Amino acid sequence: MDWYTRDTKFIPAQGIPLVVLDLCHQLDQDCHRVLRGTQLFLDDILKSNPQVSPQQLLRLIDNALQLYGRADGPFQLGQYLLPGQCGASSQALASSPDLYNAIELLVQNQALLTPLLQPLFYMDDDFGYLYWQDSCGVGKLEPALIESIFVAVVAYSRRMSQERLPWSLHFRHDKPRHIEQYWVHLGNDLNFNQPRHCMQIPRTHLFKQWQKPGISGQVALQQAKQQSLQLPTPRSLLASVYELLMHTLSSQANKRDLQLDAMADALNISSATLKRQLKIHGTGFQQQLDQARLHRALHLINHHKMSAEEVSRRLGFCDSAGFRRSFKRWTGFTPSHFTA
Amino acid sequence: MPQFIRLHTPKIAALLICANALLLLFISAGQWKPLSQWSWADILGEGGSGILIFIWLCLILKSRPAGRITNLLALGMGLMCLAWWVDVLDEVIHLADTIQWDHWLESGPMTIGLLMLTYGLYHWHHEQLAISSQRRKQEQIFREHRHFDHVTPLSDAENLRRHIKRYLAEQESYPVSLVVVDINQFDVINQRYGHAEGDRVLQAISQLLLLNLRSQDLLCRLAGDRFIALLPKTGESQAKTIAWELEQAIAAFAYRCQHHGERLHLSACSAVTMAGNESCNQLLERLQLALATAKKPLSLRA
Repeated sequence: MDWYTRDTKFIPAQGIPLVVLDLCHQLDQDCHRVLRGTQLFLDDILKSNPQVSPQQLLRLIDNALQLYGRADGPFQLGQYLLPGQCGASSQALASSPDLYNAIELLVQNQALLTPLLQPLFYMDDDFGYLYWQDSCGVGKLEPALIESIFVAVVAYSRRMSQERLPWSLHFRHDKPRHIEQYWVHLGNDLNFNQPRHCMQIPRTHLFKQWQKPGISGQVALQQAKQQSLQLPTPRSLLASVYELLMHTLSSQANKRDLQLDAMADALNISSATLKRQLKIHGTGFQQQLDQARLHRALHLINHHKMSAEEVSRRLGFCDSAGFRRSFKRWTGFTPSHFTA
Repeated sequence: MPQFIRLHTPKIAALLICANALLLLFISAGQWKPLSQWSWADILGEGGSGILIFIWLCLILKSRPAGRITNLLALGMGLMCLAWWVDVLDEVIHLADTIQWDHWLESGPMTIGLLMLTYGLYHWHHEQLAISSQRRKQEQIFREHRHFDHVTPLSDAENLRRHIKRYLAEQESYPVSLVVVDINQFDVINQRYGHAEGDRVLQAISQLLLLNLRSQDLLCRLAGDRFIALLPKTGESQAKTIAWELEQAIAAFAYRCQHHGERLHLSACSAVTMAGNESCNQLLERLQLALATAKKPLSLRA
């Protein structure tokens, strides 16, 4: 298998889990209560560095946030996530010469640095777009995890560049009650109820040099690459499905390739297994397909400036009215809302 | 053993000994009634009241620091508790008709207990007024403990919103201004000296800001390292002066780390808005934008 599921144990406990526990300790929480239900024990984590599954990590974060019980929990956690404690990958991040290289590393070593969320990077003539989406069926924790990772990237880039970068942030969720936390930790360019979680930044800031690329940075980068090669599974199941779907959608393949059976074949598993796995991740094939089509449609509209008619033809809709209806169902808006 | 039991062992022990003594007194002076004569409704009602008062007593002892008022309240409730206990004993033990003291034992402690409790509550009222005046700049007119900030002695953004809404509603007569103060490079302190030190800095700064405000002003911690002061009856130019003074106070503040006594050089950035005809959230958003402009280096300002 070259993908991980919720139950694959591959996250080193002394990486992100320990960061969470350390923060809980600093905030005067009882670490044993935070570990309740995760089947992990503090002594084990400290002595033998066991491997943890995404599900256990999710439970740990959920416990920590619930016990802490305040709106700034995810924001506090975010301060410590990047560069983090993930060995060579974190070292390479800490010695990254610019934002572009840092993001590239983040995407490549995602399984280590952000196992619960999948970053996707796209760049056009003016902006870089860092999209984030669920990679492990995070469910109701999604807004909190997105808050954390956004704070992590914003705080990391501020520390490295020694200035506040003009991030424009897009969230799928509604404007929350604790909006003041967003103001203080993320800045004022906030957009809610958007179709995708996205961090947008002017292109010039991607390539502004933070520090001279030194030899130790090169070594750290090489070690980070090796670290990701040593992982049994570089990507999550959801990310693999998503990538296959996006590939099929963009290659004008015939409609049959967009079905569950074809997808299961491509992943080398039976369709029943794929179905069961998707269910474990709190989603279904149709939902994944809809998400991929929405993302493809948004991509064509935003970056290729296509009209709704053209997009609907590219995505294999019979007529553009059907496409408009589906689009409205996915986002709550018509396609023209995003072309303007 | 919970801390409050250790602190108040004499009081609780005295209560239990008195209850026991009363039981022995009743047994020696009278006889157990047969079960058929027990009036269960009375026993439940009186015993239940006694138990409830005992729970109140524990809650009071647990929630208050020791002192004169705590003693008064505890004494009053203890006596009431004993009065109910005598009532229960009266139900289950038959005393000869010639004995009169049991009536005194019932109504005496109850009356004295109620008097003590009333006297205690009256002093508690004065104590609350004193505490409220101390916390005046933190809470002004509302108190809601769920809105207390967990790091500083201030209240949080939710409480600020309630106050702003109230002031906006009655604003016609006088202007209201808001000052936001944001500590520069605060995340560096958190990273370098740890979270606990960062929290101590925030606590120190909140005290410092409180000292620099007038008695009608309200200070809240918005989130992270950002504070907002609500200034009633204050126009924008006066608010700007106050904001400048707050910045100066922070810049001149010699904070020293707990472990090595190293001096931290703090600085802050501030912005001011005067409330216009707008909603609470619009006002706060405008204030954030003003702060963002103030934070930009002069060369980049539009």
